[in-house]
Amino acid sequence: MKSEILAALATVDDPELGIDIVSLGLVRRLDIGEGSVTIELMMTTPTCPLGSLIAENARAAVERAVGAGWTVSVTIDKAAVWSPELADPTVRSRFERQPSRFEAAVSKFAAGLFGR
Amino acid sequence: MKLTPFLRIALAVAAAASLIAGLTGGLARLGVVAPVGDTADMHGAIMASGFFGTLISLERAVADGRLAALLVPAISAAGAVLLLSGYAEATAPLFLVAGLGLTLLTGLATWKLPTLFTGLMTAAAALWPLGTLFWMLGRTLPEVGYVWLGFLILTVVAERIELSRLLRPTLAARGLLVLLVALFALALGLGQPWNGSTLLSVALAGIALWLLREDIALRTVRTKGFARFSALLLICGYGWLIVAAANLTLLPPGEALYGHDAAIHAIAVGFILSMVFAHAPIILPAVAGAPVRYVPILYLPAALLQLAIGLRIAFDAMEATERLHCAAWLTIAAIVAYVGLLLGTMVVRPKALHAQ
Repeated sequence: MKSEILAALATVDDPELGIDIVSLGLVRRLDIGEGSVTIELMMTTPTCPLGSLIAENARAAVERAVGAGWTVSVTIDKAAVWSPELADPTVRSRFERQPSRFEAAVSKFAAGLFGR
Repeated sequence: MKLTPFLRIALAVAAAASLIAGLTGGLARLGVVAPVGDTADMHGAIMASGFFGTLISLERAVADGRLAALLVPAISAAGAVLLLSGYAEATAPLFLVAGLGLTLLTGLATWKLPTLFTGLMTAAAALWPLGTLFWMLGRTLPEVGYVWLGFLILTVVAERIELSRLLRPTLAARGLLVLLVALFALALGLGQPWNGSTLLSVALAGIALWLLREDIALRTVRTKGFARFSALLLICGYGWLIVAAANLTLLPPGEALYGHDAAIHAIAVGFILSMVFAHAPIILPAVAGAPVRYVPILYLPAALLQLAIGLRIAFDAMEATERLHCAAWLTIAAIVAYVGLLLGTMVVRPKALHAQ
């Protein structure tokens, strides 16, 4: 059940980044109760207006996955502060900068210069 | 927070009216159409404060989520309506208050999350009331226009850094950006580009190159669908910012006859409008509740926009002003096609959304 819901949430993208909200680490809490699913999301920034849209998309995706008879509620924790560390390592490695050949050469030169 | 339907419609009408009046004012400046009221003289104020000021305030207010925050775009929209009705003098205080309100909203976000991008967004927002204050103190719109554009440019920069946190810019890179922004603000304070333009030009080019290097656009351009569309427009926008910087040096507005026209439109159309085209399919559903979506045919108006601004700068550089109206009409065609296609996506829904 939990994995199905997470799979459904993983179909919801942060439209700006084109990355799903599970990989980004935006799903803060997932509670499965008697016929109800409660999800708490966080946003990447307090200045981004996309929150309610993403929450609505998430609710629709989970409702489709669990079927009728379940109440799905999605809320946003506005106090939570996101940081890139919360994102999945594979997402981070996709974005993180690989040092260019020039930078690598400079660091190698510097390392040689200081004898390390 | 959901906007009430009344507010949504009122704000949409005010923004659309500003856009139409701003664009006809632009055409009137070129002598293509007869000017209506003082929209021709107020072209810059209508576009920068009336249209973009209201739009950005709405974005922040929706993100803030409190109903009171909506006062900021509402005051700005009221200013826009007054401006269109020909009461330019009464308008400035409203934009001043809206600008201070926007600075307060971004300041509150900075208080909550003290980072480089929230701080920069607040500094950017403060340029709006500052420029408006200069306007009230009697500076001309061509002078004030660059301060307002500074507000728009730095707002975009701040939003892009927010999205680039996944790239983790190094401390040195962030320090460099702070330095570039400080130089940019200093140049504006010195009265550039009217009073010398080198520093402004260098700072602007630096900011553009910084964005090209640190933005996720060069990575997301290798994805597909909307993320790619958006990334391509971002890269074009940064390119136009570099063109604008080169333009400020080669054709300084204080010396070259059409240097101002080329520079201000390279920034406003090439950079800012490209940014709008790049984000509208996701921002409009979020802030205005309009169920528009990205469709690949949006590449058509996006390409048209790039052609339009390229021609405009070329004609300015050649002093072929009798041809400027072609570029202006192309710009309007791009905007109309873009808005039309985007609105069309609200009407035409795909039969199987997930069957792709």
